[in-house]
Amino acid sequence: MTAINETPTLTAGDFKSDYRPVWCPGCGHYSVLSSLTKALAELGVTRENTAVISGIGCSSRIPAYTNVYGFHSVHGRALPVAIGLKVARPDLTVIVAGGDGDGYSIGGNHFLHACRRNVDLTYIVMDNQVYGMTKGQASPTTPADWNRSKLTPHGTGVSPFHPLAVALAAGANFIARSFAGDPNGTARVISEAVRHPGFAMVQVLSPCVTYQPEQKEWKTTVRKADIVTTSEPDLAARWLMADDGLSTGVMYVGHRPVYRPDLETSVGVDALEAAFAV
Amino acid sequence: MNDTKISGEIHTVEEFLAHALTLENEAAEGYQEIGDAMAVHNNPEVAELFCRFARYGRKHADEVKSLAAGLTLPHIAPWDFAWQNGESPETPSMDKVHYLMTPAQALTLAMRAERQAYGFYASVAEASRNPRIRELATEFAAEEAEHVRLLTEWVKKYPDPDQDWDFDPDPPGMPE
Repeated sequence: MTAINETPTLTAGDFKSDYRPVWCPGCGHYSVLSSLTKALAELGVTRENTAVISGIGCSSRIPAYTNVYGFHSVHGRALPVAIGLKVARPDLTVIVAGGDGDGYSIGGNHFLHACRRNVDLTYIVMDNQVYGMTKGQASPTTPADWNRSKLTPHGTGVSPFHPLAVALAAGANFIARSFAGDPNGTARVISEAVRHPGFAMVQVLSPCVTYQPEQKEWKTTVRKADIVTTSEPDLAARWLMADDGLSTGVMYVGHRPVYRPDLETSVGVDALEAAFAV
Repeated sequence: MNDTKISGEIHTVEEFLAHALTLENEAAEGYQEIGDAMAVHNNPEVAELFCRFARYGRKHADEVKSLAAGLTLPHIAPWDFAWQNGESPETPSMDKVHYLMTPAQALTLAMRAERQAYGFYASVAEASRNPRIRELATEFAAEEAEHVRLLTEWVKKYPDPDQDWDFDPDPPGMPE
């Protein structure tokens, strides 16, 4: 687990960069950025010891808008990049952020194995149930009857992916859902996720006002989960499978051992070159 | 998600001023964020309005800081403020924002935020047993009420939005 100071020395504003987000006005991702920076301030981390890693998509632009180290990586590959970083530099606080398409489709296999490996990371999925950057195609979490895209004029006809249940089955050590319309609650969940050792999965329902304008209704339909956080996977599974995907809260806190391989103290350039010699 | 206020739980002047400072700062940040987004999305008139609201918010935050001079304000985690389950009351609501919104709609959005701020301060003034907190909260509530009045006058200078105000001849289209 990352060492955390008790008293914040930096404010949320200190964790925001000077770049103006290009997200659509009204996009939920603004709130997630606010939640993330508030959480970093509350955690008392330092900018030079924190990294935000992303893949590709609207939400994956977030490293540019934070004032910590960042890596805007390849589509679907944020998790392997972050795992490599955390394994090599266990002293860093590593946050992974991205969208539902990037995380569950292009990066779906990495998602499964990141849960299974249980490296000490926090994965924030800003889930708007659509590919926004490419102008509104159905994503893995899109409802089966969503017919607003010309690519799926009769809906996808496919059951949506259930990210939290999959995360639980694959071995994630902390599982939560929050809502961009509750930025302070989301900041709290992100803080708890970072503090908890192991792979922490936070699904943030983040409305896409351009391609899923009906998600504005989330303001009234999303509610706090009637759940007591459990460390029993079977109880969490039963609860998750019965839920409609609009309940927020921390659903599962596990105690699996964190994957933390021993590192060589140092490796010379000669040794590295020798490994690649043809 | 409701925005339940538990303003009776503010016990000291320092706690109250910490709330007021955060309320004003977050209002300013929210307005600036929308102003920047409008500038990026080529709605300069509305962008300038929101940036102006942000400047007002920073000015009010400075006034709260002046009142807090010599006091040590407590650190309060974002989720522990007396506006439970949501944002601070004067933060403009992002779900009412649209890249083609008109000045009248921007002013209406600001008016709603100011009304919520008024509601917060009025509820503190009513609930607090601390005379100094009651005095400050009453004063701040009166200021917010004045902001609402000014915005009500200001919005009259703009026409109501057309019925097709959000029509975009080149929309962020679906793939053909």
